[in-house]
Amino acid sequence: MPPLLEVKNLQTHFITRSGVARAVDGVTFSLERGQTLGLVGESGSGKSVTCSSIVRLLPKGSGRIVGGEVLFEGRNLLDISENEMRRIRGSQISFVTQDPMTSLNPVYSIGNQMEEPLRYHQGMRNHGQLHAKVVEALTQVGIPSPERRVKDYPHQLSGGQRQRVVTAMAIECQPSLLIADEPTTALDVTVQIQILRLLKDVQKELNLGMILVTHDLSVIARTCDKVAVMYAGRIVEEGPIDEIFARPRHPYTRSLMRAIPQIGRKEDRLYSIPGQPPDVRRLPQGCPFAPRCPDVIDRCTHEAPTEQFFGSNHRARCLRAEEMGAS
Amino acid sequence: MTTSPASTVTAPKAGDTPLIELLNVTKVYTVRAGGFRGQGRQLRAVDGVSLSVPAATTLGLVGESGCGKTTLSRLLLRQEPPTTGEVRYAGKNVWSMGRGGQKDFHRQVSAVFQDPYSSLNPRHRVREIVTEPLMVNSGMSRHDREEKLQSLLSDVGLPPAAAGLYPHEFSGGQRQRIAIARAIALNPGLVVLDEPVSALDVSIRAQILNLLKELQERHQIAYVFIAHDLAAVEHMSDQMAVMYLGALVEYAPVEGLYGNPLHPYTKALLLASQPPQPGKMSLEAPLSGEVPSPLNLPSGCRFRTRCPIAEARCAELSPQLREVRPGHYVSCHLVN
Repeated sequence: MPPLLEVKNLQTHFITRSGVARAVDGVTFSLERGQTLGLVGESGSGKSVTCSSIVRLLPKGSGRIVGGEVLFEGRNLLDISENEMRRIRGSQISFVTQDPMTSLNPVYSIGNQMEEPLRYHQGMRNHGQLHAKVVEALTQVGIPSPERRVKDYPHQLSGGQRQRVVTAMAIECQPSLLIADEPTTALDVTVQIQILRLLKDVQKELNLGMILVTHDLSVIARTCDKVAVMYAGRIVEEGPIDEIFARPRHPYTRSLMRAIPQIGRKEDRLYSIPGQPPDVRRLPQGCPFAPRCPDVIDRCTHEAPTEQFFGSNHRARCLRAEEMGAS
Repeated sequence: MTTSPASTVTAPKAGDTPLIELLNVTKVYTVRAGGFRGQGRQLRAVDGVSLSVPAATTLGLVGESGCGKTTLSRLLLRQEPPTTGEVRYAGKNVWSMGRGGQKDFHRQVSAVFQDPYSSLNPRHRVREIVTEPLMVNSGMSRHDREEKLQSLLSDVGLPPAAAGLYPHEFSGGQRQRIAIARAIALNPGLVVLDEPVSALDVSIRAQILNLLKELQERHQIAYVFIAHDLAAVEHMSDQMAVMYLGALVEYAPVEGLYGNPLHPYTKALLLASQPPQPGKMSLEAPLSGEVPSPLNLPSGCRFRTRCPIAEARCAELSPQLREVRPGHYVSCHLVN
């Protein structure tokens, strides 16, 4: 049986006035049912564009998938028609985004918008049936007194509850893949863990494959089985979560872990990564991280690193990856 | 209502006169609930808060949404008068100053905000952004201003050529450097930092925090550092205040607060901010539910609806902020 999702050498470009931005530049990964992949990286690293490319939701005009394959249950989503794609979006593959205030429509009641995917994807028409289904989904995500809540509008709910509603909507049609793009970033710290817990519970129940996009390594550590670190449109390191945290092999991953302030670690100065995130329209020759890399050598500035494998499932795109694991 | 007698909160280090002080400050807004004809209701955004910041030190301020952090920063910046209580700068009530005193206050106190994309005027070059405070508030000649501009840019780690560019030509981290240069242009005594790194990439945050610390040492600036990242607050601060729904729940020197947190809310926040460690982090939320509406405060202790150890008396009596160890204040019935 093919894996749930296999992304092969995906390339997405944006045509801008100041040149072509290679937002996603040869991304490859796979995901099984029941598995959670964490996608980390800074803004502009291509993590969100990778996700929108999977479901073909790129801004019209400027964004274009120029190469690669997205195999969902063995079928290349880049080859199918827009009509077929629409039937997959929201039913087999669904989304939870960062800001539940913008992903919910403010002028429709919760119940009303929650019925829509059921009408569209499952052809459900019976009012009683629809209502029952919506109430069931709201109960599943832990919304108290769901019969009353269906009549509420998004602004009447708190941030955490809105994110629960969005999650309920995402799982109504029993998807097999859930893409969560910074699902907890807009929430208070004590509520963040509640939502992560909810996503994990839902995943278990439906045996979902999940892609979790975040910049927060503690979210990754709490929820993921494997993690892919992105930099300048590429995955620079990928592996099982324990491996990556214990033996990171790419200097960017290592720097990122060191640069997070930690409680109880008394330091006069925080370790910081020098320089600014790269401009994907003007990438340097060689390794894109070289100008900021603490372990840079001469070769890095003119030789593009290829992927090196460590064991069957840990890979890093760095000329010195071998040595890095040793220290 | 948590009201603590102002006299109980003293400056943390003996002999230091506080640079800025809040004395039992309350800010009440009247909001219309239920449409335009609805009854005005009272929202106590800040409720009986007393705090003091000695010169050249940092007070960290944490709390979740609706806890009053933003209102507090507006009170500190004299953008909003308190409903009751006093805000004092260098011992003087900032609302009973003459025009000269007010001008002086605004020279002495500045701010850096969260979002460097919206806090800088997109139509002004960096030169105008950074030197605007100098033009308004100092009698400097054009030549002196240019010199000061160059020294400020080098202070915050920007190249001299940055002066002629517009904000959109910079990345987020560099824009925050521009905002910082502007904030320190008049050699202020106090800078209010309102979530200064929250909008930045993780890889850039440490750079900006280091810069702020360096500038504090070099220019002896006091900071009020508002943030939700507890690790960053620990790194930056001398004292720390934890707020919940408008009131202080714990206030202590940083070592005391992190080494021995007393309030159940502080403990929960610390639990939620563990360093990333796969396999060792629980998905049990340290608190259930969410912050209740500030329009409808719970009776007694305002934290009791989410408190894991609440007892019957917590619903009846509002706890007072009291000193349980030297300099360590907490407002909870169940802490001895």
